[in-house]
Amino acid sequence: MHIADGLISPQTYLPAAAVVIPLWFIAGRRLKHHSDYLLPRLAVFTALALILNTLMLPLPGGTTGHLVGISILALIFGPSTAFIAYSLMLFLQTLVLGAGGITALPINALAIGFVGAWTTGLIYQLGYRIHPGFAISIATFAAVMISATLVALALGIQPIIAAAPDGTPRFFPFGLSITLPAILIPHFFIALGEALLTTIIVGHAQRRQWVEAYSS
Amino acid sequence: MTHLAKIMLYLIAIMSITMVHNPVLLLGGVCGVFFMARPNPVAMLWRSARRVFWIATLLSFGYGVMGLLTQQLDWMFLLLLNSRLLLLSFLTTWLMQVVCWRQALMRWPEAQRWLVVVRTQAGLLTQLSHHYRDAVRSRSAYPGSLRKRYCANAAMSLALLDKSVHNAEALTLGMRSRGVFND
Repeated sequence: MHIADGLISPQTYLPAAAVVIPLWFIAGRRLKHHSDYLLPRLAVFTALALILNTLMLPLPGGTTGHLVGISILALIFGPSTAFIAYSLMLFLQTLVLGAGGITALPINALAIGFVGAWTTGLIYQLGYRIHPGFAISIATFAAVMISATLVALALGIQPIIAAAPDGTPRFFPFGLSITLPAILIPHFFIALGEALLTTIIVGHAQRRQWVEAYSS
Repeated sequence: MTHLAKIMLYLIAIMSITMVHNPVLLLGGVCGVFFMARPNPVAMLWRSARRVFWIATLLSFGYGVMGLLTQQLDWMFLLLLNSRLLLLSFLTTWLMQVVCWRQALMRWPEAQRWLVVVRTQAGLLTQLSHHYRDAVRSRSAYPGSLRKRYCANAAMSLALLDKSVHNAEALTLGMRSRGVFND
């Protein structure tokens, strides 16, 4: 789902960086208190998210289609830790695999890491008293769809905010009328698969007592 | 030059690249990196081009078709887009070649060890899944049904997850016993 380097204008990634850097700082400080005993499991689930993210297919909307793994992280470690773990995963993916990018990192971290993790957390908290498994599925589905919508919006506004005086695009060339369907339709099916996968993995993590967040 | 300074220079360079809208300058940048990159600039350029190939092809093709249909095709934009994608990818590949992340993150020990453990786990998980795939292939005369394969994959994936958590706990226990967490 994440955006590649070179498709996002400074008008977009600089404000996104100004928002995301303090959020990284806050999440990093929260993580510092219990990083040692969490490290093994957090590393494994961050690595799992990295592997899920590497199985990608380029989509016509200028992004890629793949499983995300943010909901798994959010439901096991909580949204704040999930956000920082997912940001690290995006960073590693950029440097090691060349997917995503440093200029696109703030937008990707905000749209997928931050919004995805908090959407999962909030919807799960609202629904887990009714049916925990169903709440996991719905929270995951919503997180993927909302993140995908934000990614589509970030790409689709590029021809509007970063065009040459004669109207020629300078970064991503397609508008919202293309990015929204091109990204959201494949991600509808990805979100269904992700919901199933997250339900299985989080269920397994609950049986193994690996869940740090929402364990009550 | 320290590794942290190299990362800072890289960040400045990539931000500057996104502020340049002249494809000739960007292609000049690609040539400049090619002449400065060592030890094997051809291999690095090839790896960088491969990394952006699919996204650049898809975008260029989509833009080309739409441009031809609407008769608003701008070849300079296509050149700009592709040269920027290539230059950013080439710079990132070069950075990976010249920066030692362990030394660059010396001032942030938490980030340093997290990066080490995550990279190790990603490598181990990939290796385990390859072993599993090879084992399944070598033991099956013909491919099973899709349902059977999915069920087997799900069961095996959870076992792999258990093994990975166990490995990571053993690794961090070893790190702790050697005083890694004492700072």
